Amino acid sequence: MTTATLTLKNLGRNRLRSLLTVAGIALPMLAFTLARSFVDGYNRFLQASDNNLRVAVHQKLTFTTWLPQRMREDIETIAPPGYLTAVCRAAWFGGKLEGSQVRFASLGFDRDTFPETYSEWDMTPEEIEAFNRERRGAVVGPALAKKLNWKVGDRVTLTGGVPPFPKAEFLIVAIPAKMDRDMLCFAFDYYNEIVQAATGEPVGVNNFWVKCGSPQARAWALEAIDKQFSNTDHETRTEMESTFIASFMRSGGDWVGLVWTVGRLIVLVAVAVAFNTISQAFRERTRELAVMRALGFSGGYVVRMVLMEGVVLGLIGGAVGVLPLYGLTHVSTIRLPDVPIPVLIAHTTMAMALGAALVCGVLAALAPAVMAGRLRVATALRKVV
Amino acid sequence: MALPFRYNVLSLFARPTSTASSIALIAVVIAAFAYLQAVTDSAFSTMSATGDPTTIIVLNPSAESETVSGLGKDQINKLESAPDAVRRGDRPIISPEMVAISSAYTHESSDMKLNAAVRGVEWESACAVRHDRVRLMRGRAFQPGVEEVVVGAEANRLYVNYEIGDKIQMGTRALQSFTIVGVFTTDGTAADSEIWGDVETLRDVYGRVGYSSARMLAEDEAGAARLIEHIKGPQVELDGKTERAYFRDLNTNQNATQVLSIAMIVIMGIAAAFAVANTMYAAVAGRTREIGMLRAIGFARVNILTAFVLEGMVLSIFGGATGCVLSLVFHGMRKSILPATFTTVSYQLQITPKIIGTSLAVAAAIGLIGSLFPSWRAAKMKVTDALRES
Repeated sequence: MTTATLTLKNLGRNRLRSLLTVAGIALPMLAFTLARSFVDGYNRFLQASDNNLRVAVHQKLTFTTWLPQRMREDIETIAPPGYLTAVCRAAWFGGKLEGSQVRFASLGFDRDTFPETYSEWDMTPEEIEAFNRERRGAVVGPALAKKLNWKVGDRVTLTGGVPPFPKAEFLIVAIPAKMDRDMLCFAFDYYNEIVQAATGEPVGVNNFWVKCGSPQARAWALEAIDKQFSNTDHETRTEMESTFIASFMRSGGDWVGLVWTVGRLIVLVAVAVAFNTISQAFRERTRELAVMRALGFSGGYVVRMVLMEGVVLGLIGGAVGVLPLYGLTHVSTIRLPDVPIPVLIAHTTMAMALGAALVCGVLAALAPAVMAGRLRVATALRKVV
Repeated sequence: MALPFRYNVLSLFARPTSTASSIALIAVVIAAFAYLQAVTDSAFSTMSATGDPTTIIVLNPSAESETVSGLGKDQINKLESAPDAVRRGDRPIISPEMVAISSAYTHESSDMKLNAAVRGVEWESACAVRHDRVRLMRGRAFQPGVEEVVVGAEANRLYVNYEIGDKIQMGTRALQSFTIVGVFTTDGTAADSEIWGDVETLRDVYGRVGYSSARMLAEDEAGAARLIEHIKGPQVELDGKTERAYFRDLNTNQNATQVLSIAMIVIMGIAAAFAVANTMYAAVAGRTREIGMLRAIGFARVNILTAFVLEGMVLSIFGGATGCVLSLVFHGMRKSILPATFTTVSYQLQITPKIIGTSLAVAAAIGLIGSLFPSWRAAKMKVTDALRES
């Protein structure tokens, strides 16, 4: 009989206990992978946004202060040819759907440059054509459309969240499958029209999205645009898209950090569960261990046997907790309610969780193993449990 | 007759290692739970600590927050006739305020600027509508008409170069530098994260025609309700809310964190219940003869059941209490949030009696759920079998 089979047989002796322990390790590991996948998703989202070579230009102090519309032309003129592929105005509408608690971003974008600015969404020529043709046309992210049960062709009325708080009707013309934002995008000129009618003033620009032709062009844009406007009436600050978005998300309380802190605490729970059971199991088997020692098994062998039990419990627990969800997230998309990032368990996360579960088992078995190794055979044999 | 409570407690001490490891386990779960609660609750309490139920904040009816609200001077004048408002002399106290945004690096993250709220006020009336909770800690108040500001205690701590004598850039066009001349506190309200300056000077710099909001004061909560009714009524046609309601309504964008936290806590709680079950199954198995004997001398099944359930719960509550003590390390830790106003509010984590209460209740529930099945097994044992067990 090898140590491995002996371990499995031992675990099979008290099935209920082994089951509870496996579950006790599996659940925290599940929570750990969830937390980690969330942190991963967040970082991946930010990184991916930088692959699109977009920078945001907003007023030096805050994007809530409007910039004049003509700055688009200013930016276009200062760029060397080929550096910028699109400059697109963005104006925050912040619309609310009457009687709905669902919050989403809604902004006006320049018709002509919008499809190129967000070229990674792969809008079809028909969709672009429809967006250009329809005065009140709106492009909506598929996750948002699903949540609100919107289809192409639907009319929706939103009330703006910033002065002059206009009511506006939109016609959904496209729900691009690759659009990964919960956003409603509509035409800047339509927004301008509405604001003009209400206040007599043109609508202000919260930021300009500048799509760059190359990483070099982006490095240029990050420096040159701010330099151009310094000491003017409208000083600017140009940021990478990831910084711009992260300042939204991260200053909203470090929720990513929070989830990750708790995620790591959870591993401690798994260690405690495993320790609890393994120490119990071996306390009950003290005499048995003594008998083994008396029969001539070495102290080292007994220590290895105890550690092995920890390793096997940890690995099974980790596998049960992590693998099903890991597999599931790779065959379909899973979302938690109200969490903008879908759950996707990266291979590294899976490996990390299995590793953590293994370490859990070893740590938990350490104390019982040391105890078993130091066992005084004569005393232990006398012990009544 | 029920088994004495002492029996439950002493039984736990009979197996010290097992008891201690279970306690440690539950302690970790409960400490994490208390921490998450503190994060969400403390943000809430900072926001609604400002939330005096008698301070009324007047907004544009379409606006959800002061940042996007706009009121004209004529609209503010209409408030003069409001009944049930606290008066100074023959006129109600009205504090017209302007809210704008500046930005600054924080000591924690030097790569990203946070939005800092700038509030233009008329010092005397702004203090009056806040029940004179505003107190200068250092320096002096700003002078009207001069480019000077005072900063809240949290802003002073959170942002880089926010000391007396430092300059802050403000405005929309051709930015102006304002000198910090004082540091104030309102004892833990959201205003502590703000920058205050003279309302007329700031309106000029930010190019505002009107104001953002106005604050008024009511005698009591009933008066506040009447005042709000008047503000919303045909004579004024604006929106009025108590500060408490205002901050409660704003604090809504934390759903994602809450969902994730709850998911993790539930998972951890179940794991902890399994661990309790494990411990209690072992306890029941180890004490089979004892149970048989207790039954033989006349204790009913229900007594055995309650005894073991109680034992499990005592164990969990011990663990919960340890967890609460552990969670005190988070007490006083600083965090910041960005509510729907787009301006940063910094706050201190507080482990309140309410959090301790909920945490202990959760611990008790974990104990109850975890010990139910093992106790059931103990209770349904046959006396004769149990006594024969070695």
